[in-house]
Amino acid sequence: MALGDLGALEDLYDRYASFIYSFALRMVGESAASALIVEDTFTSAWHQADAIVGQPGTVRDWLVSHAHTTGIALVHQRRAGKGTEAARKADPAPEVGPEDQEDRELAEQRTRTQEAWSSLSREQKLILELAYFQGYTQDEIAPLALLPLSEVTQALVGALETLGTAAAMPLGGRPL
Amino acid sequence: MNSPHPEDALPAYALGALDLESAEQVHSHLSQCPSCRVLTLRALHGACTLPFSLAAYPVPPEVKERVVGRAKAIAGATEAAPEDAASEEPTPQAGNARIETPPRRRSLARVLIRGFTFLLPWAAAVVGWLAAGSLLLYSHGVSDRVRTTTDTYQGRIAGLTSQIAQTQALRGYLLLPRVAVEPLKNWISATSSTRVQLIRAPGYAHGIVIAHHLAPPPSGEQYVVWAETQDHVFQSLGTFITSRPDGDALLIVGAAQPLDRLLEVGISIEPTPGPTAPTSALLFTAALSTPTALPTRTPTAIPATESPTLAGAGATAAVRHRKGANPTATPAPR
Repeated sequence: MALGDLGALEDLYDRYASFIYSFALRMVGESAASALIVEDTFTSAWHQADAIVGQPGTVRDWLVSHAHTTGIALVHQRRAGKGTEAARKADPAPEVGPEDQEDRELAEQRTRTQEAWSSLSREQKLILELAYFQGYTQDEIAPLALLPLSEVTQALVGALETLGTAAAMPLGGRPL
Repeated sequence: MNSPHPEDALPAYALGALDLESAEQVHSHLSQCPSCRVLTLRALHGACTLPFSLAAYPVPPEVKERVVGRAKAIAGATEAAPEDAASEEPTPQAGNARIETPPRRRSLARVLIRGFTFLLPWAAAVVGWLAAGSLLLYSHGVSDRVRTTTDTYQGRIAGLTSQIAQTQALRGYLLLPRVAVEPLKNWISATSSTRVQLIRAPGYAHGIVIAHHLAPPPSGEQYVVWAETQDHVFQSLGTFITSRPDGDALLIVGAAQPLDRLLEVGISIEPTPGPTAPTSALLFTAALSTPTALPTRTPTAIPATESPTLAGAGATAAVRHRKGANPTATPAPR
């Protein structure tokens, strides 16, 4: 892709677009904005290919970080304008079901992450949901979760340790 | 954060779940502490697995066509790119936010919302570009698949801390209650379509510079954002090169002190690598605070007959004849 190969961009898109779209959908809750986030993420990856391509294990994280930053910025804008609910009603998430086809490595990582996720406590899941998918700060989360700030902080520490450990296990698939 | 190491705050920092003030404290610590930087990287990578906890949904098929079309446009292909149409398409949130935004914040919200399709790619591009360096580092931190030198490692760590700080700044700025958007005066031509704005908030050392219709600098040169202190010393706040066809750019800048304690912010075209003080006239300026004593100003504005769009050649030619003049002594006019 760094050499300007559009086919490489298409391969990257085919592999991760659904993953990024689903992530964006979870953050912003409606399909048009999620599609825009996907479009921007992959266009930016093309634009910045020199910096991200050729480094094993990094492309997916780059895409996720990029989509997260963009999605949360949108969530924050909406929250400031109180437009989220109206937007969700105006353009709800698609009615189609989850995809069945997924590359083996992604499927393996998904299984691993979901196992790690299911091992988290209910509080940890709630706090991660509010922090990562909805863009709240831990100070804002504490009253929402009815927990002291110190417990919110410790929950995040433990949750990311668990997820990070699961992610760091050797992958059986091809390099990213 | 009583401990000298804010380990407990690092996961929230990596998730972007710290308030701006705390994030700046952590960022300051990370700039001095390699062990905490590694912990932050681990937390960041753990966060990046979270989308795997979600079910995967199919993307609308037209999105791929738009991505490929925009990539072709970026690559300079001759095929028509749907980028303009896509970027100008109003998002559903824009209308809702405009209706719901309280009057006091409407001005900022309108700027941000109107510019959303502009901010969206560029904010993400800036952060993403910086994220690339940081995420590359992660592969060194937890994987043996990549070996590199200590220098490269340290450089990538620096990329991480910069990325996270800038991500925090960007997110935080969109929510700060007293954030303001201020235009920089265009000394090239008042009628030019080139617009440069500074988003800043009282007490904060970070700000966001947004440019629109800004011509690419000549080869080997770059735009440098400068801040002038109360002592009339210039600090570089950052550099950028516009590469998009529409001349849009976004740069998150950081000074050594709150921006409102500085005299002025300005942008000049400088060679790469950049000098420590401006060597050419400031093309765009904005006052940041009321100076105790204004220095004597010599008008150096480029006549309006110069390129109205700050075309690189025209602007640079206009600047060239003043190269060598010390802008510290003869700063740009107000």
